[in-house]
Amino acid sequence: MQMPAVKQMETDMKQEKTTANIPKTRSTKRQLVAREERTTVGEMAVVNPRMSCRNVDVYYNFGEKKAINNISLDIGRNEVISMIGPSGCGKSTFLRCLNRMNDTIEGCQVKGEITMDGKNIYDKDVDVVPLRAMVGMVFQKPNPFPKSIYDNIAYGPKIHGLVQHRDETDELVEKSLKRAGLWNEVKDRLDQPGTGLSGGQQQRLCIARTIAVNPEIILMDEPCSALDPIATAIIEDLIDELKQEYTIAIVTHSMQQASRVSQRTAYFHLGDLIEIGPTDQIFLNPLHQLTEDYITGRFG
Amino acid sequence: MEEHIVKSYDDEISQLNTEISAMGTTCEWQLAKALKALDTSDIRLAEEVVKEDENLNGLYKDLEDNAVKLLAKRTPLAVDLRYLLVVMRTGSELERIGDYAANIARRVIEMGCCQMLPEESVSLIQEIGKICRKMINDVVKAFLEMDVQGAIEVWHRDDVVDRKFARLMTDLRGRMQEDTSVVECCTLLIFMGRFLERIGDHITNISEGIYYIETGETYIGNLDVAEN
Repeated sequence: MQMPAVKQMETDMKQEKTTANIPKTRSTKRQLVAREERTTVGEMAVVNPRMSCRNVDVYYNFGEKKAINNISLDIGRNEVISMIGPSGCGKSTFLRCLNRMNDTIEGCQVKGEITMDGKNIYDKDVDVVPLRAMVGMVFQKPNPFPKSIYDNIAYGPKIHGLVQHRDETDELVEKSLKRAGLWNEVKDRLDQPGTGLSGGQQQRLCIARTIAVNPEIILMDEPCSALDPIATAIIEDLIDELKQEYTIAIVTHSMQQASRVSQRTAYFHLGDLIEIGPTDQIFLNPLHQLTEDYITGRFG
Repeated sequence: MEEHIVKSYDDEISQLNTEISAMGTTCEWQLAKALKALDTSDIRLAEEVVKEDENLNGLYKDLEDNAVKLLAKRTPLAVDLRYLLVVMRTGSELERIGDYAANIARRVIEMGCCQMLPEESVSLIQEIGKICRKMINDVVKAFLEMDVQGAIEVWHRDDVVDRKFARLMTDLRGRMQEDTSVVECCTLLIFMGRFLERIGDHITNISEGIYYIETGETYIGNLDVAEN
């Protein structure tokens, strides 16, 4: 029950104009870059990059379909950079450009320049075999060779001539498995098939296999999408460890994973690089409307 | 703001807004009743305000529970994350404002023994209270409409509250120096003024939250004043 005096007070308040000195603010709402704007927002260059991509276009079907459009992006040394975006946005296509995995797809053309330590990896004199050892790749689905755990690791170093004797090979297998955090789990069954391991263990085996050929960069294409949360946590912990020595570029559909593991994040949309910046900024205060739409689930 | 792909996400946010609205209304009403109790020396009404503070605490508990659930379920990012952090803080600010309204009512109960209250000071308290009530109303409205300019406008009204409180202090200090027999009652009035002044501060926190949701930045009002 409202009392008459209180009612009167409310009427008085409605009539009263409370005055205060209100300064004009610089902005009352954050201005995001409009959805229609497709030029990259954010700082794509870094000082002394490990890899540098400039104006990269990728076409499929012999030029019929343009998959990615004029992407320029640096990848820094010992950083984890994550690439996010809806399915079909070109993030995996872009990742595959970085070690010329797209060469294996018939009708795929890559234009523009991708340099590693100043050398264009698409130059005619570049041999893709050592390139792919230097820029290793871990795929969505763990794909161990149908060989023993030991041979899964030893195979690459052997064909690249990194090891000569059994002792050396043993040492490298142990070192690689230790770095991948798998040694203690498999040291007593190195002769057993790699395919007999659990999904998470298989993925770490693949990471160990990649590390064994002494890469400089590791590309990861949704490395945890087939793993349970515990196996995912172990891989993420491993990524943290690995970044001390390697540069890592990771494609992920998990925004939480990108925010946990990477220092920089790139958002792709329909083949365009929409935004690139420090991961904290991308997930707290993105600059582009499309980025905000995507990470807040307002856009399919 | 565009809707989420998942409709139930929007429903959950809407529920939180409803709870903020309910807390705002309850808060303002509690303060109105406390001021009315002061105006009419109505002890029974003051006791009612103290008792009903529990309702506000209950509303806050519900808001907090729902916000935590949303946080766990949706793992919000960007503007949604800022909103959720601010909605929890806003609930806490409103709950504190309710506590101050109850504190004012408690002082009214203690005032039962005061023979004569200085009319001018009481009227100044009513004036400050009226401004605070409107600020609560307006800041909650600004929150629900995400009206940043409105929130900033409310933020700067706190200067008026502070000035009037300073005047109240000077006035009451003078009275106490003149006549020591009024010290006890005047102290109770000072407390009331102080509670209202604190309410103003909590309202500015809500305004800053609204600004943060929309801009991702901290509002530093004085900087703007200096620049202008």
